[in-house]
Amino acid sequence: MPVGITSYGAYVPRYRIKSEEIARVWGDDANVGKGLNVHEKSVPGLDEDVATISVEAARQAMRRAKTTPNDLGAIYVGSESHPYAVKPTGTIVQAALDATPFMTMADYEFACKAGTAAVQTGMGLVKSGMCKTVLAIGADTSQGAPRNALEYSASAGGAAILIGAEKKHILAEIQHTVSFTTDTPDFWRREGQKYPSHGERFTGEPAYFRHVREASERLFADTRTTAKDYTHAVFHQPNGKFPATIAEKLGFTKEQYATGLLAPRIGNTYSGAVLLGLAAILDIAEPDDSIFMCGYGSGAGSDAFQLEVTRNIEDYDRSPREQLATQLASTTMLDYATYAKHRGKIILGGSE
Amino acid sequence: MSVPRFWREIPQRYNLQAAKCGACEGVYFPPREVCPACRRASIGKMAPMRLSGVGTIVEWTRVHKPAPGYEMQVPYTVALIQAPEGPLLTGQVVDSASEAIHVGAHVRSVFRRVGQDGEAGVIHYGTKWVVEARGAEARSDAVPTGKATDGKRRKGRNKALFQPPVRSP
Repeated sequence: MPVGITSYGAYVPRYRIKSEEIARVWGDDANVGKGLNVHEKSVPGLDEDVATISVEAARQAMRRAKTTPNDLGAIYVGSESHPYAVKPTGTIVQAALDATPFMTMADYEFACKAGTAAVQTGMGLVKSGMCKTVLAIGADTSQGAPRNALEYSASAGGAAILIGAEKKHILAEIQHTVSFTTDTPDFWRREGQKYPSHGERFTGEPAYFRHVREASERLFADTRTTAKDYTHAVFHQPNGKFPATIAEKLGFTKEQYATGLLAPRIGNTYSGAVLLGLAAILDIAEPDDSIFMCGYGSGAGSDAFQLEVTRNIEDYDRSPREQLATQLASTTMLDYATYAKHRGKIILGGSE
Repeated sequence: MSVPRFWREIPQRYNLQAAKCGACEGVYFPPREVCPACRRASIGKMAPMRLSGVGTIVEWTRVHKPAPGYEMQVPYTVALIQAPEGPLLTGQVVDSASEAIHVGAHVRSVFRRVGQDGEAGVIHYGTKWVVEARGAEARSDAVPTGKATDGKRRKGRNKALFQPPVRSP
């Protein structure tokens, strides 16, 4: 039985801050953003969080879906910035979709790959026949401590992927997935801590590159494919440099990975990153296009996927008003002071 | 706000659930148990319906002295929004350039945080509004569920205060 993506939605807050503005405040080299290939990053609105981002992405996915919210058998929201430590974000999404309460649900956390873990769970539930459709969401409003290197990339956004098995609704069939997971402490946030910590250069070779490479090469071996067999490729993007490096090492060309590489414009949306890249690809994909996707989450693990776009994509609403590119074109640039306000880095005192 | 009250109002806060009188077809937001025009003739005939989530600004103001909980958002805009189904709503307009906010501007609903019961309490989510880009097709974030959203336009029929982030005098 085939399983695949039957609809999708994406949401990125409209606010942006430029890397050189962050560098200006901390006296860093103005070219630091150029080195990371992150020129600006998205910033959530004062009233936005993972629940609101998830709802906006989910509503777009359901608006364009051929099935209704009452067909959902599960909602999984993957994030490392859930608004509640205890109370699932998915419950808020379920209520905002006015979906059936007869569904199973849990929130996921696996640093930046909780969204792809949700997709894999959805595949299992749909393929086993336990659920008709499953909504898998990856969204974050990630935090970087002021003056920390993370501040240049930690951004906000999310995507919702509707998983189903009805052939007439599948836009992109998920043909294979494989994961690679180890105990690698490259990035973490202890309970009760406001900001995460990371192992600096340790986040590179033993963490991101090793896990993405292992999962990708296993997927190539399992499916007897090479980079040349894919039309598009998208990788987790903690910055704009890492995904380009691993893509080229695996044999992909810039032409293949350019569409899904959003980090230079919006930064690292963590659990949303690879799924937003996939949404950008699906927005322009044509029938029979093949897509290679590999997420990464610190801690650490990678989920790789092989997808093939179907003819159903031709009848799917991809008009300009629904495209991620349209959202990304409409922005409001912030200075650092306003950004600090948006991120709760200003403490109010006194009384009015 | 008490947890039970917030919980009870989730359908109207998240999804603009209104009530339609089966006798006169008047639409009320927030939903009402009894139609104030038809009174006892409406008992048992008030049906839930969902507003489409689009509207037009009929008046607006910019708030500089914030209501509790809105201190970080000043200055912010509160508007009266005419829904095509009839009700006049009060809501916050966000993510919109100040020059785009004017009487007659088309708005659509978005899902946002509207408050919280302190740092440790429940977070209140609900509906706010953004001005549609000029020339953009009207679009609602509401998800079709097959529920009725039709209704005759009954301008000014009811003026419901909806999550008003304005300080009482």
